[in-house]
Amino acid sequence: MTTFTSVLNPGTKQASEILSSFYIMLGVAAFIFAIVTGLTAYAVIKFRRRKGQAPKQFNENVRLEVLWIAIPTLIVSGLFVVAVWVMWEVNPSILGKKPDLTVVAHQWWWELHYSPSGVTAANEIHLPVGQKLLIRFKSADVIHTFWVPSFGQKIDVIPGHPNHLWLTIEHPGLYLGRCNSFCGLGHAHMGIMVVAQSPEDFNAWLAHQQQPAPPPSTDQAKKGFQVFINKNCGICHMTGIGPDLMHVGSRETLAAGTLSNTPANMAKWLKDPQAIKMGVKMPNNGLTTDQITYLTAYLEGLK
Amino acid sequence: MNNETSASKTAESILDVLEYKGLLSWISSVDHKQIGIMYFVTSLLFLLVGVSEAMVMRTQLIKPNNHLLSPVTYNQVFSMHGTTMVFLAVMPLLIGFMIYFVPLMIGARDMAFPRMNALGYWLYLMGGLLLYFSFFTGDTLHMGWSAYAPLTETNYSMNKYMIGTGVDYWIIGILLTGAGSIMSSINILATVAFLRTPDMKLNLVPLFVWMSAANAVLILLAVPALNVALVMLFIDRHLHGFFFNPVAGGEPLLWEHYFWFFGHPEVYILILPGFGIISEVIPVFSQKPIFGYAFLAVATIAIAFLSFGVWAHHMFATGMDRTVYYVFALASMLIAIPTGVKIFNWIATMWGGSIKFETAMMFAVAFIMQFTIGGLSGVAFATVPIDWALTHTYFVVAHFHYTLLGGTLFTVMAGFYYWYPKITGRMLSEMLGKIQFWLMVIGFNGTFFILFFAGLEGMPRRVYTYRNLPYLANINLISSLSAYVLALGILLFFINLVVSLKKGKLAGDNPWDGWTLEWATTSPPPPHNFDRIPPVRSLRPLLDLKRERAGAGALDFYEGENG
Repeated sequence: MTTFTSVLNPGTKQASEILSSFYIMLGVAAFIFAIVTGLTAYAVIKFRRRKGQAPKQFNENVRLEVLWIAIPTLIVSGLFVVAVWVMWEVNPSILGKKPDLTVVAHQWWWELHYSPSGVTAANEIHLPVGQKLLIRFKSADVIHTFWVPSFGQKIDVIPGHPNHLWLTIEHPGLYLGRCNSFCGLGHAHMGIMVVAQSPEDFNAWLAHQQQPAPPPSTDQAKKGFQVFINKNCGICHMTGIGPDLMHVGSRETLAAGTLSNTPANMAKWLKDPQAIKMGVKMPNNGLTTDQITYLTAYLEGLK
Repeated sequence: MNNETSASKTAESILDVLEYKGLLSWISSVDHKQIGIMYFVTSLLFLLVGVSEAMVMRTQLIKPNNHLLSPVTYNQVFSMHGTTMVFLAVMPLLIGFMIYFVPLMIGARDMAFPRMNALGYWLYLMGGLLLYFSFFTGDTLHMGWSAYAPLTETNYSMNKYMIGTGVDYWIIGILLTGAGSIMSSINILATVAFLRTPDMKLNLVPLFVWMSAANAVLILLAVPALNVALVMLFIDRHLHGFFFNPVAGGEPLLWEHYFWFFGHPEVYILILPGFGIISEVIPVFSQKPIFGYAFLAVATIAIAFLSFGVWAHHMFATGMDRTVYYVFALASMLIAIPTGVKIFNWIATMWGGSIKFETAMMFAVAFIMQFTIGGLSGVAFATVPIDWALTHTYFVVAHFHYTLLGGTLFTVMAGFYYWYPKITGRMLSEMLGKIQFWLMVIGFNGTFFILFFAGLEGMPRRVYTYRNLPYLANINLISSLSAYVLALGILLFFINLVVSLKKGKLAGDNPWDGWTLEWATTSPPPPHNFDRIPPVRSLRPLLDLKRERAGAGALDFYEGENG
């Protein structure tokens, strides 16, 4: 699967339009910089101090001043038109449309609610390509920013101020992003992964998410389920304080992109979450090695 | 020149000035020159601290997935780097230049309120020390220099890794330095308004003084907004207020508005005196009068005025109403016009001149080009959709370092090489200066130009470690290595400052053939500044004096009637 990580590699219609406006700006900037550098370089070489030189003491030319006020005024007017145009293209009014996905940002993970299916998931965002999607953002605590470079627009996620983004993803693939506003100790470990799929694949994923995960089948997994109950993991993980774990075994990463999801990493995480993601709400639960093995088997079985 | 005033009784070096001997003479001083020097020394030391913090950050970021520093330490370092550079290093450096040179350039004996001048300095020093004292409490500011709510509220700033005292020390420290800068700004305004030598009409005021006065207005109107917000935050933290805390219905966006209502004028506060320095250095080393004096002065006022109408462009990603975007995008773009006017006028000043490349002039020329890059990338951020794509990333880091380091710090360097002889009576070493210049140009551009690409390739600001995405490892490696070169250049500057104080060539009154009044007195100036103030009939009073002495027609290299 193609991985998208760069602003220069747009994956949505909106990102392509923003990138075009960036290239227009880059062209204008290069042109102006070339003029300034060219004139400076010429002056610096041509008018170096030489013996017997007597520079003319001119110090005013209103025509020139008008010229270099008028031309930049025209240029920024043009840029303003470009800005307004692209703003409308990228971010049209909502007009009562219901969001396809609501993302709730937490310190330091992403809670996902799909509508109308009602599916709840965490951190790994699955989206269909080719559809104009409206995504809504809320914060559960501090200010975060949802930023996937290849999606173009980023949006601050502010407590008390629901925000939204329009996305028309054009290419299936893996889109990597991160929280982009400093949000505390775990800020560097608040990754975003978007899996853009064909509508069929997406619907299959959604249908799978609607089913409960299969009950634990192996002995170890059954014991792991008991650990999960006894250690009261559900107090956070079934109430939205921590990520929903219904299908955690099927996800690519753990702890919002901090670790790839392997049994070894899961065990490492369960042993001491603070050592991996300092400040995270999940405490060190003092699990024994056996308990960790069982719990890992149970969680990795939640496909 | 007027050598008859620098009789044998005057000192040749700052170290020999009788009135400046002994620690007590400095602590108890109300002399604007001594206070100016204290600003220089203090802010340069803070600059050194800020540079060290930058080096710690660049070392941490030299490779992806680096865990040398814990997030606790790294967050403190980047927050203190920003705070130190803005409030304790660059702003007071510029205030130092203003306090030292504004009275001299307008032929005044001292500032309008000498005691308040001293109070301003001591408040600044104490604020800075308190801020750094917070390290000894085990906690400093750790949420970035902009200190966004609600992270600064007690419920988010206290946990098992942080005791939360850092925010309180930051509030009090910044409040003190802020009060100090407001005092300085009132003082500058009163000095420029009332203490000009009688024949210096407003159209004969040197541009550095114009820009210092505009700067004082900015400080006076912008800093109180921050002070108010700091007090509100303090109420939130200690008196159970809820201004910014959403937990009880507070509004975190309100902090952003307050902060940037101060913060955006602040970035012009950090550049206008630099523009002033450039407007003095370029004409002198080009042997031509400044081009478009009136346009430069008006452009300065335009920038100062517009700077109060652009703060929300720091908040383009917060999802505001569309009309708000239009207004702030347009206002932000308009600022490019007066800034462009300045750039072109400086180039026109060099045009047809006789340019001597002393270190000061080299810094001025590099400033023009680097600041242009900083300004153009700023216009990109005024273009709302581009801001949506790139704000909060390393593209921003590159942009504002091009304006504040490639811009302001380069003007400060030009200022020191130009005025150090006046301040101390001795020249800075030109050889060391030129080595320093090239180290800084190469180091600076190597560090920051490539960071534009880091932002484009998906690197967010304020992360202690980052994933190994394509290109990021190489970009950061080049940036970090260049940063060491830059630091070496800055270190050389400090060596030059110290060594030249005793070993530098004696400067004499006017080593650069300058034209403004500060060159009419001795180097260093006597405590009372002037024995006699030459008449001011043009922007270049000392040139008039020279012409008069030589007799009309006997000018060595100056022709023409203007100026």
